[in-house]
Amino acid sequence: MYGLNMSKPGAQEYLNSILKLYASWEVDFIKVDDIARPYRNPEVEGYEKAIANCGRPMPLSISPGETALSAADHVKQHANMWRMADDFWDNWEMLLHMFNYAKSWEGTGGPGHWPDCDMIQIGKLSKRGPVGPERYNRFTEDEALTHMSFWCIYRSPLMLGGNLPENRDWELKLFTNDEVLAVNQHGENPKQLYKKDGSMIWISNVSGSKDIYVGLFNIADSAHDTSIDLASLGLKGKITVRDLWKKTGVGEFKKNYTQKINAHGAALLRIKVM
Amino acid sequence: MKFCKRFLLIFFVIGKTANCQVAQTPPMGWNSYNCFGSAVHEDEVKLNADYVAKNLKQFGWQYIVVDFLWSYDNPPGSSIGNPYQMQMIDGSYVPWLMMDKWGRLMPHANKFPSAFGGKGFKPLSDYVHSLGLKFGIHVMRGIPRQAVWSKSPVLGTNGITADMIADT
Repeated sequence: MYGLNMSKPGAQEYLNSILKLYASWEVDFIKVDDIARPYRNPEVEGYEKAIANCGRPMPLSISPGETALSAADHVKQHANMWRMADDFWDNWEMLLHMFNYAKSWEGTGGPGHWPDCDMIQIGKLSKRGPVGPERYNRFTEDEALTHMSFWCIYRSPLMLGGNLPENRDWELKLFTNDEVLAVNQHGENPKQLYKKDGSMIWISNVSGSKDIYVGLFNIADSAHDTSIDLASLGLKGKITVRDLWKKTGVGEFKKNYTQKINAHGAALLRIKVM
Repeated sequence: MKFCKRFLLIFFVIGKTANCQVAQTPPMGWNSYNCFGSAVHEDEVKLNADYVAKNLKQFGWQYIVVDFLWSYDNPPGSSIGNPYQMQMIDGSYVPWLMMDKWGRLMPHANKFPSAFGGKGFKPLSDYVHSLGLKFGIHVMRGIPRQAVWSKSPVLGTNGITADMIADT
């Protein structure tokens, strides 16, 4: 491929012509590659205009990362989702790096514009390339739980990367928990509460409620207690805690909530003020 | 988004409505890249779509996205990334990507048999829609080199060809 010189007459018409073709195929979504790193303002706007011109609404996803933070204002206005990092694979170190990318883009997501952590590396991968041998993901079960929990509380787009017919019960369970998926679809204003001493906590607001979603992450290499000081959430008095992965009530608490989390593991909670 | 207002205005004027409110929540779906790379075939896309329809749709998963190089005929066993394209001395291009007369890439019928005869992704899109799901595709930024080399005319212009708009 060659890039387009968007200042030349006919360049926008070319993009209009391909989107017109895609609209005739009734395409509902496009992922434009080789455009976010380096970030190409005129061409991003060109695709946006071509979508508007084609008469068929479709989200504009741009790739690959990392998208420069200096492009934040532009990308929020002109694309619907953008990759924060280069290609993500089933590797704990990459997951740790993703937490840093996510923190740096904190606050930029919202209806119509989402920072994208990339596809979900859970299940059967790389059957025909592109990276490494065919395998079930190299994550431990705790790491896969952390992966899915983080994408959900951060409100990343959720695009499954595995060959779905080869899912085992474990994968299917990770993808079909309605209470967990609600954190992704209906949480509001995700933010990192803290990251220290091998623990990381992200919180978001439950839409239309005073309840709070909490993601507890143990990013250390051994099991340990992770605590949340309720005053740091602005909460006084008693609360109830619900474990969303287990779909069970955990109980009533005051001042503080502590849970032991496995190495590289996570919990997603919903806290209700009583 | 910026163009939504104009878009809505146009549709208001001609008495229709358009939904500019895309991706109001984070999009949820499946993408072919991590399991099939550039070499995904139509039957594999369909099997994944079937799985989503049966097991995941009710939880909000909806997009089925075909990732890159759908216009390239990966030879048997090939999981190549972007192939290096050349123009030969005799004027031919190697490898040849499927492309229409307007310099627009088309799905290769060896990987997407339903595209045979210039039907593009419409039959596969119809299949995905018949399951109550949505269909998406990967698009590589820019214009194919072979369109530039062959000076493909640009649809909707009067005499502008691909070589006049490419950043070569």
